Amino acid sequence: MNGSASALVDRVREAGTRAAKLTLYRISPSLKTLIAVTPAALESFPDVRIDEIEDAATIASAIEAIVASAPEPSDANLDARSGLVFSDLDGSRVLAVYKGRFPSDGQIDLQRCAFEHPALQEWLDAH
Amino acid sequence: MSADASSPYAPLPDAPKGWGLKDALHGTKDDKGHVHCGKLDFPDQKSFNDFSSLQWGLGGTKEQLATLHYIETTGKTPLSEPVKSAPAGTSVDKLLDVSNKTPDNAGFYNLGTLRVKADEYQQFATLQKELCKKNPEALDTLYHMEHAPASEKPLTFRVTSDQDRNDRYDDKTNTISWNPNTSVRDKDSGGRVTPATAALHEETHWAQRGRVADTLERIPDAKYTSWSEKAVIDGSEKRDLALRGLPPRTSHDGDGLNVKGIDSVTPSLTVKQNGGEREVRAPFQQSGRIIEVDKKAGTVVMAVRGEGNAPEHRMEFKTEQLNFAAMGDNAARTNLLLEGAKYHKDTVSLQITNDGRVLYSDPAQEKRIHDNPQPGVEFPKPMQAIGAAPAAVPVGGGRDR
Repeated sequence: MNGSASALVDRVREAGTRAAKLTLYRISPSLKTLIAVTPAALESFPDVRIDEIEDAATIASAIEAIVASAPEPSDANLDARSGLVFSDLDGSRVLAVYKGRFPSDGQIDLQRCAFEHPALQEWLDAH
Repeated sequence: MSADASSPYAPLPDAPKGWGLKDALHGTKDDKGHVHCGKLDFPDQKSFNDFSSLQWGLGGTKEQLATLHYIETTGKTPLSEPVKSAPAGTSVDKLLDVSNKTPDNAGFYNLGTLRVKADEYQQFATLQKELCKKNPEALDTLYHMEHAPASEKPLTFRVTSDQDRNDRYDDKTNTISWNPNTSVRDKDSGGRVTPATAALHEETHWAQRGRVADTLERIPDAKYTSWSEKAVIDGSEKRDLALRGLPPRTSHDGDGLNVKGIDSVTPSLTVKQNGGEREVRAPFQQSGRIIEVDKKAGTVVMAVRGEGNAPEHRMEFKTEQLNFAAMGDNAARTNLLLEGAKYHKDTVSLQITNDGRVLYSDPAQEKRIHDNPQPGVEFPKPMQAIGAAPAAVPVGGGRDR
C-alpha cells in the first residue's frame, strides 16, 4: 500500500473512533440519470432511501468494511449509488464514504478512490 | 440475429458458435497498463476487473454475447443508431390526441402503453411537439412508447418540480422523470443539453431496455460512466442537439442549470420585487446586504441599494431557482456561507454566470476563505452592479408574498 492509500485508511480508522451515528443513502443501482450523481446530489436525491444507524457494533463493522475494501486514491469518475455518512455525538460529520455504480468506484470525503476488494459492497448488501 | 423481443432497434449479428464469455472477457494488457478485449479498451486493470465481474454475473446470454462480440470486433456502440421508423402516416397530433380519453382512476391519461398524469399532460404534449418539430426520430420514439408489447408494464412519464434536477429513467418502475426547467452543462466539453433533448435522452434509455442494454450498462467508460450512457449521449442526444445547432456532450459529468423554456440552455432565475416577479437571464449579478435567509421557504432576501439617494429596497431570490445544485458538491457549504452573511450583514454579491454557475462574494468571508481556501469554492473578484437598478421599495416595507 502506498503512502496515500495508507493515509486514507488512517483517516477512516481515526474517524471511526468518533463516529456515533451512521446515515446510509442508497439509490437504485440500475437508475439511469441525465448526469452522473455527485455525492452531494445523492444525499438529496428524490428517490434516495435513507437509513439511520446508531448501534455502535454496526457502525464499527461498517468502518472495518471500508478498511477491508483497501481504498486507494484514484482520479476516476464517480456516479454515486450509495453513501455512508458518519457523525459524532454532536451531529458533526466526521467521515463520508461513497460507492459508485461500478464495484471499484468510490470517494472518501473529497478524495476519489478505488476499492480493491468488495468488502464494503458486501456490507451494504447485508444492511 | 440477436435482439430483445420488444426492441425498436435492428438486431445484432449473433456471436460465432463456440465463442463464449471466456473469449469475450479475455483481456490483454499493453505497456501503458490498458487492458484490451479486441477493440474494447479499458484504461486500467480496475475497470477491466469491474467489467469482467459484472459480465460474469449476466451469465452469457445470446444477446450479451452478440453485444460483446459486436463491440470487440467493430469498436462501435450498439443501440446508438435511430430507433425503427414509425408507420407511414403517424403524426404527433394523432399520438397526442386525448380528445376522446378521460383520465383513469389514478388521474392518468393512457396513450396506449404510455401513461401521463392528466395535470402534467399539457407540459408533456408541449415537449413532444417541440421535439418532433425538429427531430423525426422523436416522433418514432413517441410511437414506440405508445406501442410497446402489451405484456410489458406501461411506461409512466412524470413531470417533476424545480427541486428535482436530475432527469432519470428507472427501469424497475418503468418511469421517466423529467424537469422542464433543467438543462445540463457538460463538464468535459461545456456542451449543453436543452430540457427537451434531456427528455429524449431518457426516452432513449427506455427504448433501449433489454439484455443488450443490460450488457452495455455493465461496461465502464471513463468519460460516459457506462456504455449505456455512451449509446444515448453519442446517439440520439447528439443527433437532436445537432438539429438544434448545439454541440454534443462528451461525458456524463455535468451540472444542472435552471432555464426558462424547454428549448433553452441559458441559465435564468426568478427575482421577486415590488409585488411581482421577473425572470433574469445569465449573466446577472446583484449586490446588497443579506437580511433574511428562510431555508424552509427557500428564499434569500437582500437589501439592495437604489440609485443615487434612493432608499434600499428588498429583492427576494428563490434559492432553488438560484440553483445551488448547479454548484455541485459546494451547495451545502454555499448555503452556510449565505447564512453566515446574515449575521455580520456585510455586502454580498450574487452572480449567475453564462455557464450556469452561481457565484457569491462576501468581502468579510472572502478574506477568511482566501486565508484558508476550501477546495472548489469559487469567489469572484469584487463585482460591479450591472443594468438599471429596479424601482425602489424601502427596506422594512411589507413582504411581497
